[in-house]
Order: sequence, then structure tokens, then C-alpha cells
Amino acid sequence: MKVLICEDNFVVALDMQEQVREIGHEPVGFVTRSSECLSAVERTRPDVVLVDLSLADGRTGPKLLETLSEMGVPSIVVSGEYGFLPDDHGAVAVIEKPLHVRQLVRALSLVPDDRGLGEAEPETT
Amino acid sequence: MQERLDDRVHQLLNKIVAFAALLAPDGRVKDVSQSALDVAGIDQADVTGRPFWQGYWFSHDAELQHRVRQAIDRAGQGETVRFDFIARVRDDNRLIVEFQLAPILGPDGDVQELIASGVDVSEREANRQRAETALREASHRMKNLFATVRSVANLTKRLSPGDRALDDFIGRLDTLAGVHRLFSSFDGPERAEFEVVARRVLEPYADDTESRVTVRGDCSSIPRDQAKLLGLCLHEMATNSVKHGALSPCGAGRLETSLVTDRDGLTTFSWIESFETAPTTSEPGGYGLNFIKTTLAGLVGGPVHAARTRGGFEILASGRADDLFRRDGAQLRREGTDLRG
Repeated sequence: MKVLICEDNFVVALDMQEQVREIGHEPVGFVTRSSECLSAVERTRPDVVLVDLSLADGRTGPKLLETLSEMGVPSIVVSGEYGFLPDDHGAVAVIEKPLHVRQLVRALSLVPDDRGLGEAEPETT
Repeated sequence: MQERLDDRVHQLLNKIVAFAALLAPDGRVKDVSQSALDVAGIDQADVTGRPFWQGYWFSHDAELQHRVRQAIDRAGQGETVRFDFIARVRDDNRLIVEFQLAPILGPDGDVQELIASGVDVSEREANRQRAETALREASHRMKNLFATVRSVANLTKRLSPGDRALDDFIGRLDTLAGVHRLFSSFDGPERAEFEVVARRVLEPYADDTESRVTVRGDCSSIPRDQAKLLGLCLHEMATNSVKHGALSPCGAGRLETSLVTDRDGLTTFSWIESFETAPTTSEPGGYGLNFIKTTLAGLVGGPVHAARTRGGFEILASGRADDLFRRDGAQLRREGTDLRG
């Protein structure tokens, strides 16, 4: 599965890329802003986007989730705090940071089949 | 006799710190302290003989008027009632008031009058809210820090050689802690200049830092979170330099690092090492190089050039640096851009 990461902390983003790779999926890059995310989606055609709620351009994650949902691109929230996330946030799963690889495997398994589920063989570390 | 008594009560109301009013058991106003009149910008005649709940202080909120009326009913039954409310005051401003309505009983235990009193607790409430905000912010910062430390540990575990991994991790943790100390006091700065951050990170790596290291920056200041990331980059460069380059303890190399923004808004980061003895290798590998290139490129907003040179080693990066100087999460939250609780 092709995974795009939208996260403004470079260290966390690098770690997430490695975790995605380790469980058999393909990280297609990371971006730090919602606006960059949308153009990266067009460019890389990911199967799923991991989205932090607070990004380099502010608290733009919730709106990004909405836009991705409208575009038919599945998303997973990975955030330190998601208390104010609306019920209809549009993501297929919500993971609280720090990201644990088992949570990531579970969340990726919720991505609809027609987006590529089953292409990779997830394994826990 | 009654007149003298009324005058004495009036003086009493005026001499206490609180706003105060004397009411009949049905809630009609008999007397109001000057402080309560002054704060609302009204006269005694505006309220005397009228229902207390219709006073200016409650006129902005029908629900509050109802609550005060209910309190009068309860106090009329002999009960003391307390609650906080937001009062309307002069020029349609607001105060937070800690309010009490208590019955004054006659010799037979019947309620003869009601005494209403209120204290302006706006400052106390503001302080409480500030403290709550600070606690939320501290909690958020800790979560961020834990996430960063865990990621550094994960990356170190994956990419550093096994016999060196723990030392590498401790070095990175020390750097995070060192930069964090620049911002750690409660009312400390939210931003720091490059020179301050760089000197803090480089301090442990050369006993003669002053003579071997030149740090140059302009007045642009870097927010806390970005300063930590930049600090980690500098740490990777410095540890590599200690092993292979200008900061080697047995060498006499020199290091010059700078971060400057020109008039067109282009920011350039440079790390230039010069040394006489050719190093075995001066380019960090694994975690270090990947981390430096990715993080620096992201912060500076342009590609990173890292290469051996004839006299040493250099890392250069130029870009608009939108991410480096952007306001951090705390600032965005205070400004309402970021509503994360």
C-alpha cells in the first residue's frame, strides 16, 4: 500500500516512514502542510494518508481529512491530541501518538480493499 | 432611632470591600453600597424600592435575572445562597462576581431583610484560566517531546550500529534537553536566535570552542520546536566532525556555521569545516546524513548540499525557510489558528 505522511515534526515523520516500510508498505514521502499534502496526493496517488491534526500551516488537519474524504482518499489520523475532532471526521481510523506499529498495522487494515489492502504482508515488530 | 440605624447600616455597606445591598425579604432594594453603584455607573435612586433582580448588574442576561430572583425566594425562606455570575458594569463591560445572598433574621427567627454581597473575582478567574491554559500547553509540549524522543530512539535503534546505538541515543537526548533548557522557564522566551541555539549544541564538542568555532546568525529567531530539530541537525554534524573532521580533539581544524536571511527573504544555512589532515570520511552516514538532509531541507525549504571539499567538508542549504521561522504550535493556539486542546 502506498502511504503518504502529513506530519510537521520531521523526526516523527522520518520514524513513521521507517515504520511504514518495516510493515511492508511503501512510504511515498512526507509533507508538513495541508496545501502540500493535496498536491502530493495528486502527484503520488497514495492508497492512504496519515494525517496529524496540527500542521505547519496551523490546525488544518481536520479540514484536510474532510477534503481527502471528498476526494475518495482514505486517511488515518495520527495525533497527540484529537479531543476536538468531530465525529464525522472522515478518517478510517484515529491513532494517538506516540505511534505504535501494532496500531498502525490495525489502522491500515481498515483501509478499504479497493485501495490496495492485501497488497502488502503486514508484520509486527 | 430608625433613621440613625439606617444611616449606620448605610455606612457599614459603604465601608466593606465587597459590593453590598440591603433588600426587603421580597427582593426590593432598600440600600446599595456606593461601590456597587459606582461600578455600574448608576445612582441610589435608580434602584431603591425596585426589585433587585431588575438592577443594572443583571440586565444583560434574562437567565441570570431569573436565577437572582430564585435566590431571593430561597433566601426569603432563610437559606444562604452563593454562586458566581458575570455582572454588567459601567459602559456595558463585564465583571465576574462571587455572589452571596443571606437572610437577616429577627428575634423570632423570621427573615426581616436580605443582605446581598459580591466580590470582583475577575482577576482571580483570569489567573485560573491562564493557569489552566499553561497546564494544557505544558501537557501538549510533553506529549510532543515524548513523541519526538520515541522517534529518535526508534531511528537510532534502526540505523545506528548496535555497539554505538545507546551512546548515539544519549547524545541526541542530551541535545534535545540542552536546547529545551533555552526555553524551559515558565515565562521564558518562545524563540531563540541561531547563534544561541548553535552555541548551546556545540558547547560540549570543543573545549576551545571560542578559538575553533565561529557561529554567525542574524536577528531572526527560531521557535522552540524548530530550534530543537535544528539542534538535532547540528548535533549530528558536530558528532561527525568530532570523529572525522574539524572538531577532532587531536586536530586543529576550524568550524564556521551560520544561518542568515538576505533582503529577498532567502535563508542560507552553512556548515563549513576546514582541517589540514585529510579525514577518513567526513560525511555522516546512516541516520545522521538522512536526518540532516531531510530535516534541514524541510526547515530551510531548499535542497541540502553536503560534500567533501579540498580543505575540509561543507553542508549548505538555501530556501525560503517558511517552516524554520513559522510560529510554533503554542503561538498558533494562542492566536486561535490552532484550536487543539
